[in-house]
Amino acid sequence: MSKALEGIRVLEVGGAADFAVPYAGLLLADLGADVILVEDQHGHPLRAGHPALPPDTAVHNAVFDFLNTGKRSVAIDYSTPGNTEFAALVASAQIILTTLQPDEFAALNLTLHNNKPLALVHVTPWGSTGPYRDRPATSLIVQAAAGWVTSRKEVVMEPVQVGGQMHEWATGAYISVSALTAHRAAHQQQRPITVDFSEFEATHSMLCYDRLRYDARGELGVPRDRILISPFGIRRCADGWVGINTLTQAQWEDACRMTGLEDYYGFMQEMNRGEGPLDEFSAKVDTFLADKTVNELVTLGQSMRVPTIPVTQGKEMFALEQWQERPFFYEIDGNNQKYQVPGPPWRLSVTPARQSASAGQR
Amino acid sequence: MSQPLPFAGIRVIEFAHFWSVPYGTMFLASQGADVVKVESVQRPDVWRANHTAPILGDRWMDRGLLWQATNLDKRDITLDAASNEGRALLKQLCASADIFIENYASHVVEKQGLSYEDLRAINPGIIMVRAPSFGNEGPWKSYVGWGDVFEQVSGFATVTGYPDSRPQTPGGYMDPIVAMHLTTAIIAALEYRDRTGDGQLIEVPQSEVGMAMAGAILIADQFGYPPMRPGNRAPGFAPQGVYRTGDAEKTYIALSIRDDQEWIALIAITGSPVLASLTSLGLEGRHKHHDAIDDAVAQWTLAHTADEMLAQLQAAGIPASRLLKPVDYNIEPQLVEREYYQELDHPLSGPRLFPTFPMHFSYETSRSIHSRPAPMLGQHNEEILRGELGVSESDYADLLVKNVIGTEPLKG
Repeated sequence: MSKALEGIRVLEVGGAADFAVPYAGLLLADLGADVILVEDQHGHPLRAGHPALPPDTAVHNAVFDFLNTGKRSVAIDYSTPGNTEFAALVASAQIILTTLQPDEFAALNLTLHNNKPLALVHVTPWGSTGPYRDRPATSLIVQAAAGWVTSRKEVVMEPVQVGGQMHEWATGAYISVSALTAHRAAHQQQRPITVDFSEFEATHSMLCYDRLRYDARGELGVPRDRILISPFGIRRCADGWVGINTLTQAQWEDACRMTGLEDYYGFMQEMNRGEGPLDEFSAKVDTFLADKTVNELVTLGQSMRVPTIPVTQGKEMFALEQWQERPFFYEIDGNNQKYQVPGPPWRLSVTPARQSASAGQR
Repeated sequence: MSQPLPFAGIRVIEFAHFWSVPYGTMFLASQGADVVKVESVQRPDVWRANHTAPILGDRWMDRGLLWQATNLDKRDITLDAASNEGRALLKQLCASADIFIENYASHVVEKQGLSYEDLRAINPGIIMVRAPSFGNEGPWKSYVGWGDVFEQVSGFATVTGYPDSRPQTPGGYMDPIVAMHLTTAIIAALEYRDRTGDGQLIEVPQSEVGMAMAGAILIADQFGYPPMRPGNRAPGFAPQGVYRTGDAEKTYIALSIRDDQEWIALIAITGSPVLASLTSLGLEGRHKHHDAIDDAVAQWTLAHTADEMLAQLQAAGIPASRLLKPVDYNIEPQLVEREYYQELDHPLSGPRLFPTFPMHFSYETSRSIHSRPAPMLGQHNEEILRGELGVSESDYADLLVKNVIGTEPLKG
């Protein structure tokens, strides 16, 4: 069976200690592209770890291997201008994902033919133009600048980042879309197409409606800046954490019924704003949950159409009954340890998904 | 001469609601696809009711700004897929479509005769995309969920927050994330179809998108590092944090110190004797004294404004930023300079600034990538049903009478 992206060669050139580009490359490899990691004599920066990972080489290696599943790797000193080996590789590629800025890439003195399709995606923290272009960035700084560091859904809490580098992984999916769209345009127009891709803008894109929401709240005559909390939200129960999530009045009433708190039907709006009898309500919810297990609560909540879910801690995920029955996680046999990783986020009926479990070898 | 956009000639039938799928199809529409959103007067997209109300005026369900921001560049029709006539027209529409995409609860489309097998029978090349919450099979196939739920089940809530806080839901960012994953799969499937003529069925369960991004969390846990809530810290940098400033209005800045050189620069900028006494500390030592360092940094930040501190920190090459707040999105200098927001004039709610997408393609002649404001409910009924599907004038009138189509939600 041929693969969806059969015949498309992707190069990853440059790199940063950041999951975004490697994850984008993984998504393309999962769909059958021939993804080649181009590493100079220092190796990809992620081989030395990610600042947010525990300082342990075994973890760094395993994460690197996972992100490079199904890719190949070549060692080429690409940063020396005029490197013919690299030039030949570039000439064979349809897509290039690079962390180099356009002027840095141009300085490599590669000849890109005007009539040859190529998607050249420049992924940089702030983009290739604008006042921030050359500012240094870290994961926290990109999140802060993009609006991701907030007091989340608590009434009182100092602003906090989102953990797990979620924005970097998510940005990877924006990058894979950019690459495939540019590839399509390049093929149609028979010329190279470049993409100026800003990780900051991608991160901002995931919450960019908040300004429209702010305006709408003003027009509706409700306080614009008031934080919106989740009165049920994430809570401790007998054997772990459970999330009870309510969006609509109907879900709110169902959740009140589920916890025996029908007296609070009328308080949703008030408590969403962090007002009203929140403390007393909260104490009653906790009392209800204290002797019940996560599984009991999820079964009960879902039977009443209340979006109730286990708040999983890492590998607990593997034991969830849905993924016991529905294959998703699979095992990588590393050098010293076997470990499980998530599969690709899609199932296609005709073309295969992840091609192999063999990680990139240098 | 401007070239056609990359998805020109691709027709997408969107049988979907809320934010995830419609955001992905909006990307395709902004790049030239003809996206036809199918709603019904019985059940308009529930997302229409978000942040709008009758006090805003007539047709208030067309005025929701979040709904509009998710449905720019599309055409909109109503068809009651529960009726025979509506279903027949929807199938007629699918016969010439490239993509049919849905995100309803498991088995809704099967009930309405719109399964992949049904659609393939009338259009073998069609690409059908489904984005269920947990998957169309398995014991959780009927479970309900939305963004917050997927963040909680995929492990991201557990690693968000302070060590002494409960797990924090990141905040419902999963919808656009799911959208970009499914759009990746769609474009790949179009590549395959262009090559072979074959369509296929794509399933992108929203919870599995979250889990697919949890690889590093899962690996670290299996190597003896169980998930924890790091606050604003990171093992590779210290100090790193978020600090309140002395500005009159509540303001915070974030900063990261990546190496010894930046540490020394920070000490010089702050002039703090406490920090100066810790000059010789390396990364490990700074982690050990992180609480004390934070107190000293916070003392400095509280005594100065964000503007003056950011100028000093950035001049020294230290990664630092103000925490962006919604009220400032439209005036954020980098976003303004790169024209991230685009003004579109909606007939009912007037001119507004809407987000574009974060990719700047070299073939774009302008950053104004959106070609038109969001449609009104059923705005393109006549254009599509009469003009493109050839429904006769009398049949069209009949459809209106029977509420198979319409332009106003039915009451109750």
